[in-house]
Amino acid sequence: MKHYRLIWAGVWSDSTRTAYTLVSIFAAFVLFGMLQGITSAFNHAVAQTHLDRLYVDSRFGVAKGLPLAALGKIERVPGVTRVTHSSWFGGSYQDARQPIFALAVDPQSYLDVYSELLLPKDQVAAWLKTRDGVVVSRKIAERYHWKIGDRIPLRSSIWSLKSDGTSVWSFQVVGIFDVQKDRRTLSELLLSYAYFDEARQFKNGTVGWYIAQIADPAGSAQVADAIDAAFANSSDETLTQNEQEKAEAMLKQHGDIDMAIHLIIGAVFFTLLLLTGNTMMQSVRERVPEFAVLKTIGYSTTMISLIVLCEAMVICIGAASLGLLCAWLFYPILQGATDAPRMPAWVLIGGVLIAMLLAIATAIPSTERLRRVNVVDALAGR
Amino acid sequence: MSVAVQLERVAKFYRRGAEKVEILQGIDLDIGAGQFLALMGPSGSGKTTLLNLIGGLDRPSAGCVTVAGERVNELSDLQLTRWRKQHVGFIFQMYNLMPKLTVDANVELPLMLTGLGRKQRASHVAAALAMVGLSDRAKHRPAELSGGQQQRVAIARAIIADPALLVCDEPTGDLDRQTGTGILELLRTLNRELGKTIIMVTHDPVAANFAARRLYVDKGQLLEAAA
Ligand SMILES: Nc1ncnc2c1ncn2[C@@H]1O[C@H](COP(=O)(O)OP(=O)(O)OP(=O)(O)O)[C@@H](O)[C@H]1O
Ligand SMILES: [Mg+2]
Repeated sequence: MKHYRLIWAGVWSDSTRTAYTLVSIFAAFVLFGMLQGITSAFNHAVAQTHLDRLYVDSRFGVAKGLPLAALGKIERVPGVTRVTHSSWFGGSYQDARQPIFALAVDPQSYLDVYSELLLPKDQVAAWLKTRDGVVVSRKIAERYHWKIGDRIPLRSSIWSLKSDGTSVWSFQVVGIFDVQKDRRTLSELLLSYAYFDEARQFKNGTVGWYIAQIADPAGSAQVADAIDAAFANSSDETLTQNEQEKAEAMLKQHGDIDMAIHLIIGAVFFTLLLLTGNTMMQSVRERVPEFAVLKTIGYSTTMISLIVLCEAMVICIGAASLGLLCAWLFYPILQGATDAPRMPAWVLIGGVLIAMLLAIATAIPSTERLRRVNVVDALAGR
Repeated sequence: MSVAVQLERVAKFYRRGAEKVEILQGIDLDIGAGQFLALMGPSGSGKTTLLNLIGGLDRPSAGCVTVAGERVNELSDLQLTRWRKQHVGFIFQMYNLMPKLTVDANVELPLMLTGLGRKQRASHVAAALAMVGLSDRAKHRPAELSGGQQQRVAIARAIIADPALLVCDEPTGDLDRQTGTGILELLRTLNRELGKTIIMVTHDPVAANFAARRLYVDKGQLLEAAA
């Protein structure tokens, strides 16, 4: 682009105004990068779900639970290949403000279904052998400096012990699991259901929910219906959903974050469009005499419009790139909240594309103004 | 001497509501190639209007304008723009330089529309700046120059693409006598040594004396001054 000097001069024709514009675009794109990063991390989590897993809950809610006896009935539903179950432990470590995502599960069948949880063979064996053994995620082990062999006290907000009536449970760490690359899990601690059920004071013989693995994800709706049909009109009616439906239902509880974020981003960009569009227009209007001179010496309206468009591109893409870079750098701060390793590339690419659209949208009214420039009148100062 | 500019029964009027404001009427004019011509006349008489018609910035309401063999009044806007780029250099009273561009970038502007490479453009710019005596000011901004120097930059910009015709609208109107004389001498040099056809609007009889031919515009008509 050999006209870069003209473009650059145009960008800085009023440096204060340009600085304000740059700052507002920059701020908007920092916000965009951060917020979009969060939603995309949530969406990513939803998209990563296993469609070959069905969640069988009690129709009356997870708190009601389902009897252990339901296991065989679910296993016999055609299309189901494996069944496991889990129960919510509701644990916290040391302090109620340090909640731990802990589930009571049947170790062998649970690890079979949740193949993304990676646990060394000897630790699996140790877990199967140790009644009060638990396996913990690498992340939580590092956070609390837990090692294999440690004994840890966990307070349950739900379950008290049959033995002494208190709700402080003691477990032995027998394994530390990793998660398969590119997969994620919410689970931080898994305890053995057999011990859990034997030791708890009430609701013995029930589980929180079942997880049924199915042969063909495409047929998940039919299998889900078949499971629910098997329990229809019993005291334990079920509600079966696939993992994605369940994840989405869970995210809904987060107060429609997605929707709110999109509304915010939409409002920010709309304001930005009006603001930069107006600034661009003002800048072009002030420079009409200069453009008239360019026309006089042979620059066509199209050429001048392209130069103005390039000015808008430089401003919008320049400030947006800085904003996105900044968001990308600070995004890891939000990692704890979103559990995403880094900002997805498409947020950056999408941001730059939006900046380009913004530049085009702000330059169009100005080029329309340029088309109406009458050289003779502009030169005479009319 | 071949004819560089020919005007035949040229008229220009504006409509203000129902009223028709006649600026120029039935103008006939031949300007030979290589002439240095001064246009004089009272303010508002239509000198600038006439100059704009010749320079292809404006179209007549009636009549024919032929410049360098081209029927200028029949060209479209885009064709006119392209035509100006090749055939006419413009010099204004207020210099009209790009304030944010350096002197050499200002002079280079018309060359940006040609196929010349960066090196070639730079050498043309250097030659033009040398001709107007501003080689040492190439990296200055217009605001850092005096009026006379700015006008020299404008002249360098006007001649850089080597047009045969220069149109100047009161080129010394904003300058003191001494500086103005310098500019006029430069124009005369361009006329004599490079053979540029120059049409210059001026209010100043002394400036007009630099021209070989003087015309008066008054009440829409053109009068030839006695040689
Ligand atoms: N777009 C227009 N609409 C209406 N009238 C116009 C327009 N352009 C020029 N005029 C009129 O045409 C007349 C001639 O204008 P022009 O600029 O050619 O005069 P001039 O001889 O150059 O005057 P000066 O010496 O003051 O520069 C003026 O009366 C001006 O008001
Ligand atoms: Mg005038």
